[in-house]
Amino acid sequence: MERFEEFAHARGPAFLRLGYLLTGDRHLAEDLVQAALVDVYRGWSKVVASDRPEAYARRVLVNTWLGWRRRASSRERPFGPDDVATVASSAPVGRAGADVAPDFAGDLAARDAMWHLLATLPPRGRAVLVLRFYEDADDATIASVLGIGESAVRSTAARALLRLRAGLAAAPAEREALS
Amino acid sequence: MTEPTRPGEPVDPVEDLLRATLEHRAQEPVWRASLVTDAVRAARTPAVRRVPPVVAWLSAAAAVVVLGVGATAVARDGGTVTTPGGPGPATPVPTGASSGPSAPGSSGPGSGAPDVEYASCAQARAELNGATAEPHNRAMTMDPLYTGPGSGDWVSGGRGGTATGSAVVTGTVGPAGSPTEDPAFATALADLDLALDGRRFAYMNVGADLIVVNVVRGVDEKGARALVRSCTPPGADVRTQLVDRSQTELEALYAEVSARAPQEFPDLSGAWIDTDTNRVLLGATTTPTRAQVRWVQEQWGPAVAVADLTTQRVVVP
Repeated sequence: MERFEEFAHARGPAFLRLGYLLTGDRHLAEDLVQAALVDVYRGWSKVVASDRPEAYARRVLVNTWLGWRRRASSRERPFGPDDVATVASSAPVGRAGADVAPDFAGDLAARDAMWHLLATLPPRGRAVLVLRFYEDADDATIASVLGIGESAVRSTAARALLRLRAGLAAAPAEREALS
Repeated sequence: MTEPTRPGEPVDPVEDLLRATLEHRAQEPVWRASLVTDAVRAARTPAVRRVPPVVAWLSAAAAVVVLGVGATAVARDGGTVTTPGGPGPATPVPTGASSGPSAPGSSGPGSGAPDVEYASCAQARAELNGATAEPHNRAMTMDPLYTGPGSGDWVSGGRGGTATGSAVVTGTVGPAGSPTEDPAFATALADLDLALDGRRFAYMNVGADLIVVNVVRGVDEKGARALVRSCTPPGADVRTQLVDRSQTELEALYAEVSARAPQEFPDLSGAWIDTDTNRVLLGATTTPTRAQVRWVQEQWGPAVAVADLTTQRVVVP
């Protein structure tokens, strides 16, 4: 039987990265991973018996975070659309040479704007996008992790993407970078 | 309503940006092994329940009543009762059995067995390694394997080593006036190296005046820490940390990775042992694909990572 410590040390970094993408805050991500590991540890015999400890731990992590977000004490302070526009308009440096060389500053600004837009999404929408576009999880897996139906996963993802498109369209620099 | 792009469909620029953003941001958090030990400790510690104020007040009142009745009974029997202060809320008294066992291998308060202390470095070495004092006559040689960040480290030759690894002390060449220029410091450091030899490995960062002793997880960690305390050169700042792989294991892993990785990475620059992060790094001259990174992860887990030499960053799966 795989020991909990071995499992946690092996997969912990991946859980921390997932936690960071969900929370947007390194310290909060550490708290989240630790809380999830505590839960996994307490039910370790059942987790091992399920033959899929990683999937179980990922589900615990995501749902722990969604549980935190449902409480009023959430510490995340998302940026608003105005903040995104400010970040986007202030970042592009050296854009004049974009036609002759890769515009790293523009890419950076676009990724920065996207990161801040992610923070404005509802928790479940953000979780769906992170699981789909970072973890490369299919709809069935995402549905299993979140405890919802596959159709709900698809509609949540579509709504979240729509918000991202709308947010990026409002920022001229990112519209240019995407064109 | 816009549907997300499915596999095989043309890439949507917004989804592409989202994917790039997530990949980029995922590089940021730094894993700390203590997250696991802390989680285990927290899971094993009995939960502290928050008691509502009314219940607490009633409990305190009941305790006062019980104390009063008990004192009366004792006085009636001719005994002596001393009461600390007047009546008031009862103070919790540690019973010695309230804290649960701590994580295996952890040190510090509540870790079970008492910390070991030795009178001298020689005694610690004799008890832990079964070794006798030997003159230190090893020459410092350049580590041929290590070419990564902080390259130019110097490694003292080991004496063979065991299954748990051999002792290696490395350090960047320090600035003028650094402790390494003091012969007494160098001798003491060599003693520390000798004491650890054949059991664990260590490396030091002279630039920061800090020696970090990497203790391989699962060995006698308390004994190792006691040995380090006993053998620390005077005036040196020595810290210990747990690692998963010994130097011997890293070198074996390096050989295996060097032999197998080229078939998967046509643009492989080389491999090296990164003692800072206790793993083997594969250097790719082109940005590795996710499939390549996953292949590495599947083959060797977290013991091997891929470094994208175009961006000078380690790629995470």
